[in-house]
Amino acid sequence: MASVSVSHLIIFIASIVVAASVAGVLTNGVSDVSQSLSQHSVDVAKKVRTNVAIISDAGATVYNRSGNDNVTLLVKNTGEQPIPADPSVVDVVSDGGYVSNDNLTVVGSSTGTWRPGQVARLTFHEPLSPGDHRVKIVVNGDSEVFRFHT
Amino acid sequence: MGFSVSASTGIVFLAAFVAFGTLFTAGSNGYERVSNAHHDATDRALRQSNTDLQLDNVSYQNGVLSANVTNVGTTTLDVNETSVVVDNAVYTGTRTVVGVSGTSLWAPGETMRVTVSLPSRPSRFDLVSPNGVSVGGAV
Repeated sequence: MASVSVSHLIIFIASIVVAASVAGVLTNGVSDVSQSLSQHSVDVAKKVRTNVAIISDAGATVYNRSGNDNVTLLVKNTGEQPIPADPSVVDVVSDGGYVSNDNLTVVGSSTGTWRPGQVARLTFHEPLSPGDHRVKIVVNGDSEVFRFHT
Repeated sequence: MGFSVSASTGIVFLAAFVAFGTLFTAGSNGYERVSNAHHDATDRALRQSNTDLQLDNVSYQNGVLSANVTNVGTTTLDVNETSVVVDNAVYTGTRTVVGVSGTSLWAPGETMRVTVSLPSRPSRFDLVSPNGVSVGGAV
């Protein structure tokens, strides 16, 4: 009779241990998914709030303003999201080629943040032949295309 | 045996309850966050659609570029958030709403006068509203 009780006790403890393990895995897994979901929603909200506009005038001199084969574009933050004034947040594609040597400076500000309403000067070195050209910039998923000719 | 099943089932159900609560909270907060962002983006697009500018005149005399721009849209704009672009360079200049002193609001129908001191005659002038709508022309 005592052996039955011991057996029951062992089974009880084993079932509790298994149930606790399942519960732990379940809550940990769901917690990880919840954190990912929360972070993803923050990223999506940032993308939705981000909006930029290229305000350069294609009728003015955009290319080679200082004789050093630089393209200079003025980009205005027209969204609600402050953007770090870091060239790495702006992807630049010039005539289909990725530009990695771009430089971004917020006009009239040195705080390192490109706030809504502020204009940033985007410059990059790119020798261009005479003719039509196309520059695409992407900031937080928001893209703008600027066409000009040299 | 029966109690073992009940106890373990209770533990698993409790964990499922806690997990559901965590997931629901994260999902609900995330949805609200994205929904608010979309709402702001829709408002922004509406403001942009309702914004229109008209360049009345632009001239350059005695080292000063002067331009009059009228807000012909239906959105009130912030004078300080407009951008003056001359020959692809940004200038602050002086921006005042004609007939209204000491205001930073540029209401529909009002004209803003922009003056910028420049050493030589520029070729292009542009004024850009806070939401990216621009108007410009040759000087």
